[in-house]
Amino acid sequence: MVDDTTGGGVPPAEADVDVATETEDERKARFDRDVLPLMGPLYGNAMRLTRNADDAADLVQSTFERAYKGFRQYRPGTNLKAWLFKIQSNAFINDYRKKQRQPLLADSDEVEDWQMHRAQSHGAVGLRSAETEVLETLPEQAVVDALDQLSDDYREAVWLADVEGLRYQEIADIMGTPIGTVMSRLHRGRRQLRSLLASHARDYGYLSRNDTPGADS
Amino acid sequence: VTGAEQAGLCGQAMAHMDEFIDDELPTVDVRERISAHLLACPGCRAEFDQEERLKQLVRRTCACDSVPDEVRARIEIRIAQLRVQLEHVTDERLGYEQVTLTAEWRRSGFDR
Repeated sequence: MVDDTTGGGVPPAEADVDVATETEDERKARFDRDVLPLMGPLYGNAMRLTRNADDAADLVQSTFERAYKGFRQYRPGTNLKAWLFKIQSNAFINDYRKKQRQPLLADSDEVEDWQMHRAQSHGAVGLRSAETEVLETLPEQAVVDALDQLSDDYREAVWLADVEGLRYQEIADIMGTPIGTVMSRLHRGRRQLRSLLASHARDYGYLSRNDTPGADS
Repeated sequence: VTGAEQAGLCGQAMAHMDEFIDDELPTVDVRERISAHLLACPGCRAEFDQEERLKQLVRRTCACDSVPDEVRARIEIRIAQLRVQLEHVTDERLGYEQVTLTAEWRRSGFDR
């Protein structure tokens, strides 16, 4: 552990922090107590964003550096994890995506398409009810790989909603988009994920070739 | 309920499936209406169940990346360095070289 907490004493509970009167030592102690334990979720998110361990480690380090320098700006009582994911998302776009010169996905017609799509009734898009039971028997790595195959935006939306359990509004703040875009990305991301998993299941003989997703009559 | 009405109800339910599963529906009223429809409609119920299970599958599978020890150590060292650096910058600005020395000294653990 970082050892510079000796002068700080016990920091007050999260909601009782008065940022204005807090001493430097108290703030450091609060960083150690509240931020450092979130390294796990930040590393998981970094793995999904970068898709490789070396870049994920760099991204987590960069996230902690930024968080440490900007910790004064965090408002106690608000969702700390969401605040850190926002920093991580910015760090990813600045440090990493820019380096890769990967174009951002065009967002223009995305929402409209999705609203048309999701208004369809069941059967038109869904799979047979037996299918998820099969997907649940796939090895964990297959699920991770399928998630990694989604586009960055879909993957991040699905990850933040399903693994981290964040609210739509929090995800919208993190991704810097309107809520409608978040909903669209989630919906499409989940649909693609299901179809990738089903195709994996067929490739490895968990599902028969006749169980084609989206081909209901 | 006619076939067309039924299709309309199914369409409304399906249009809110993600929000229902994520507990993000705008009002309790909408939620109750969809719940009532799901009780009456096995087709929609199956779709919602599938979607919920996919969400659980992703959550179960992916909440498992543990931070490698060397990454954790590297980051903790980096934060400790940053701490000293930032104190140094602040101190220079204030002209108190003494404070930096105190920080170094404290870091080395001699004040315990």
